[in-house]
Amino acid sequence: MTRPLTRPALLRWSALSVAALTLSACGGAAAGSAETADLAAVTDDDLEGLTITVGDFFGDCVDAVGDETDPTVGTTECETMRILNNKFNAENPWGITVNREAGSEWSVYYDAVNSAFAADTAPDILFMHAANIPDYAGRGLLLPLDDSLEAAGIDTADLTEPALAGVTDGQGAVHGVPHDLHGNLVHLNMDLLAEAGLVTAEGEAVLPTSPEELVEHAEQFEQATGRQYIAWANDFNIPFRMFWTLVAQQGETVISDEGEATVDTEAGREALGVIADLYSRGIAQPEQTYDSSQQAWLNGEVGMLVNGTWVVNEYSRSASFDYRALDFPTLYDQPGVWANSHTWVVPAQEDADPARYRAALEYAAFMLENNEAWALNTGHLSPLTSVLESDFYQQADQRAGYATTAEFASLVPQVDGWQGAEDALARALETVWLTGASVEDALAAAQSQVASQLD
Amino acid sequence: MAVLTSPAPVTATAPQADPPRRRRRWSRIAFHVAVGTAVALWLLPMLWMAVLALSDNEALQRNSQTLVPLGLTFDNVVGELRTSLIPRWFFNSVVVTGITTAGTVLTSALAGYAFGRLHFRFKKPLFVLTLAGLMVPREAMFIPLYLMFATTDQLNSYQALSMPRIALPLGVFIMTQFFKAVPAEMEEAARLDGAGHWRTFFQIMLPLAKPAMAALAIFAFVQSWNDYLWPLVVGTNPQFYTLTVGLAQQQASFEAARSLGDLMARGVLGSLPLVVVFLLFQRHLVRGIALGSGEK
Amino acid sequence: MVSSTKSIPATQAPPAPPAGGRRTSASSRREARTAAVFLAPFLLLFVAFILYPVLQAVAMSLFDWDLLTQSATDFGLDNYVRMLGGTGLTWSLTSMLSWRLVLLAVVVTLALAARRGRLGARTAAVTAAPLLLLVLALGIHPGPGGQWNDPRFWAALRHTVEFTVVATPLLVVGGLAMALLVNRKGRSSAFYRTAFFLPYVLPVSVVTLIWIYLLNPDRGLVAWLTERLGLGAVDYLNEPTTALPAVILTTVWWTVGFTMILFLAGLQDIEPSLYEAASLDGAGRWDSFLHITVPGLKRVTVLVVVSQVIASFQIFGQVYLMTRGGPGDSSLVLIQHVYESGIRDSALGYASALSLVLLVVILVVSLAQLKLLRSEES
Repeated sequence: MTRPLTRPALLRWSALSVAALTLSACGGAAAGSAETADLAAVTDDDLEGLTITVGDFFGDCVDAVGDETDPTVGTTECETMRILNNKFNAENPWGITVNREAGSEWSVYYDAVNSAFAADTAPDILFMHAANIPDYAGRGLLLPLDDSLEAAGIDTADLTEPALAGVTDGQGAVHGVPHDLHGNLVHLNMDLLAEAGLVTAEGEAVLPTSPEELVEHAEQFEQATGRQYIAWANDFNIPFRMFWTLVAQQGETVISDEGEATVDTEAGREALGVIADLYSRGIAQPEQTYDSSQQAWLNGEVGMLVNGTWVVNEYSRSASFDYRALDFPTLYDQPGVWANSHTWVVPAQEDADPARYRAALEYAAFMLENNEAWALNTGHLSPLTSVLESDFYQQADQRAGYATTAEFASLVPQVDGWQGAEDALARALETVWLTGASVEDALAAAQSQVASQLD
Repeated sequence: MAVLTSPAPVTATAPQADPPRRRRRWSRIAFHVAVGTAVALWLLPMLWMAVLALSDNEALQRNSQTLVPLGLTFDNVVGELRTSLIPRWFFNSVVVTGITTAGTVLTSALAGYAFGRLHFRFKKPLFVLTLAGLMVPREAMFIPLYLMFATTDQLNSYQALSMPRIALPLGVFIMTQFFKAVPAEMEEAARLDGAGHWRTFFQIMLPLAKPAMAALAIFAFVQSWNDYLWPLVVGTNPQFYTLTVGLAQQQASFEAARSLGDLMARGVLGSLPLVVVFLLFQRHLVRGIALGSGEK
Repeated sequence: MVSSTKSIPATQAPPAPPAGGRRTSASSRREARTAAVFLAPFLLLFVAFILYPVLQAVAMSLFDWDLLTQSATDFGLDNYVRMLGGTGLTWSLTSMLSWRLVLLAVVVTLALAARRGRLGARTAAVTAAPLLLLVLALGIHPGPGGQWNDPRFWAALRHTVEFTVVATPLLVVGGLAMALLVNRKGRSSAFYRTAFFLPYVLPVSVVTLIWIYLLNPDRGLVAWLTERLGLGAVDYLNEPTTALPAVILTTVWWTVGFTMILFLAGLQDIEPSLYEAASLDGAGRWDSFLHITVPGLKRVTVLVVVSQVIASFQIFGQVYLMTRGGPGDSSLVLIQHVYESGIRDSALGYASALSLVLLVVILVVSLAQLKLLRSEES
């Protein structure tokens, strides 16, 4: 490896461009400098009246929310997030104000986040999927939080095991405060399942317990109803999430905790074989999208939709049939399902002001404390055991059917280069049903591409 | 009704020995029916967008394969104007397109005059350099530009959106050709009146160049208004989206497909400004395009 | 509002007599100063935003240049190895056979044209040699167990070329056909022209919005029609075989009006007296078309082809908005790969290397155009 170019050298490279423009700031955060910040030493006086910025991808919906501070009235992710933001600004004891930076749609969110880091304009606190954290933490762009959580009153003992594991890297460093857990569920049209005889006398859905049974149920269902048994969004990475799920249910991994690719294994062949089989039998349809699969299910043309937790409340409102959301069925020895976590991360700033860091962390702590509103209004799983086990949560609409997902959720380990690896993996897998590649070839390609991405 | 400017009539299909009148009339009718049908089909996608924009969102959930508005309503259009960022994006597009267009015309005219009428050292190499610039794919070379604006903290700014698009080698080339072709007598008459280069340029040359500049302006306007990649790259904050980028962002949203009427209303609002400009100035627009492509 | 597009002064003003005359050294110094001031705004912006980025891209492509940390490490050709290299590569006669046969056919055509004297022997040789090399190079592919370092680059390159090769002829032939159809006097033809041109003024995001839903199997009019015809509904944008064609169709609808305008301008440059003379000689419509219209449009055709090829190689918006390059990279194009490598994956060095491929291709096409037009003029 050659000597890295230093910032002055970089600026020399850009000298000509600077001649045409006014140089207002140097880009890039100072890596590692954040680790010295002692957040516990920040006093109440230091926090008094601070104004900080937050970035998230839930949109504005200011019209619907206004100055509302009661989280229970929120009906969507966007409304709930904005109300919680209002509530923090109105009620925190230090008079801290958290302003939202006009954020992007989720589809371009990380492009905008990257630009903000490149321009050294990252907000004080940022919403981020747990699986994306390593890309930034590995570059020293995020503040390690493990020593500071306690100062902000965050009780890590109350976090579920998957939620905590999802933000802890191999060295035990924590870079994110979990906000929720979201995994794949099955969303059921009970009317159609009943028609196909897949509902017990007690009114419980009969879900498959093995890949073979899944195929049998599908055939039974199609014969009885003439409809599609199972559908999912191929443009939304669901096939990859299914693969992850089926490998996890065999007690194996797609990637080890140390960041080693373990794609091309016996369990991987089994999992991909099952998915490919569903496509080749015509049970699953490779061209279905998020929009078309959801629309077909809402129109009563599909028995079971594989989709995330975030749609539970919405489906509950708009489904015109008997709707039930359940844990993804266990087809092998042990329960397990792909999941991810929304988290709050604190970007390392050039001035490394402990007070602003602390204010940011207080915001994350507040969000965690008010977590049940988010979980109840949207469908996401709470990362807190106390909320998941509470009576009001268990009794809330649908929640009893899938709260267990929070226990066996399988999150991506915090390893460098995961985003690129996941992308390569998903592309390699889908060659099986898109271009007719064999399961063996697809897995071999996936293995080598994932390995090279994780290098 | 405004119609596209007609080039001089051309007789690729013309003078034949007169066929019997009736047969000619029938063939003319057949021609208009055929082309008319083609035109109707051609415009159908735009019509459909307008129809959906004027339809009720709920009704569209059930059926969108229609050519008449379902539950005719202006709610979508009004709602988008009221609550979305479209007015802001429209403003951004106007600012960016305005700066770009004015800048392109001005710098091209100035440089074109220098190359076309003035004598100075290094004229030839500088002109060759400008011509070489014609071959640089501007779309493709956005990474260094992006870095330039990112490291100087100028993403999400009007200068980032417009500055890289002002210098247009093609514009300089066109203006150079134009000024070269102006008869020397006109300039000499001004010179005799004691006018310097500046007065000659502003009082004699610029007025002469008006039509060429108008065409160039229209060309730059269309390019800038419809630019997508560069504003996507440097405008990461919705407050700094241009109309083209802003409209694109919302297509990917989860909710979008569930409110087709709103989506199409945005499309209508997003295309109206340029459609109106086109229908008003189509003569110039067409000339600008022909000019910009190097055909003229 | 009907008028002629012919009123551009640039083409009407008589050629200027050579400027000059006696000048004092003082006035020529003043003139040079004026020129410097007149040129400064353009040259400054031109150098900063057009020339300099090219040099910067070359420099960046030689580093592992990380967007997020703004650090440049590992000086060398790594990015090019990643882009062009692979493991276990072999050469075979049959790889990409159809592409290579087409290229060979072009070479043979060039050779025949040279023999018949319609093309200079040197020009033919200079054009044919790189094509032959390309035919050879296309035989390289990963052997069993081998892989390209970046299969997405090759997919993107391939789709970009496919898009260009399919869309360009459609736009040329379609634009010409439309131009011939509406090249008449009268208000109705003027209306047809306006109608055919109208889609061109829509922003790309509106065009894609319309066509995404027009082609949607549940919601679109295309599915409505094909279902009535008993053909069923196809999800064009989510089938690997139809995604790119659907994008091409959309592009043709959007921009063919533009090529129509260029051909109309070209038609109008043809002397009407030629047609009159031909018809007096008893030539039919088809003969007139073949012997007057086609040769008369040669110059404009070259311009249209070149400008469309250059634009097509830089296709991005339609693909990114309609398919995101999917399903499974089946419609991925080069600029999307540049965008994602640079901004999503923060590999600015690699993205620069990718964009230089485009620069080279477009440079070659532009130079070919210059050469063609020059040989045309001489």
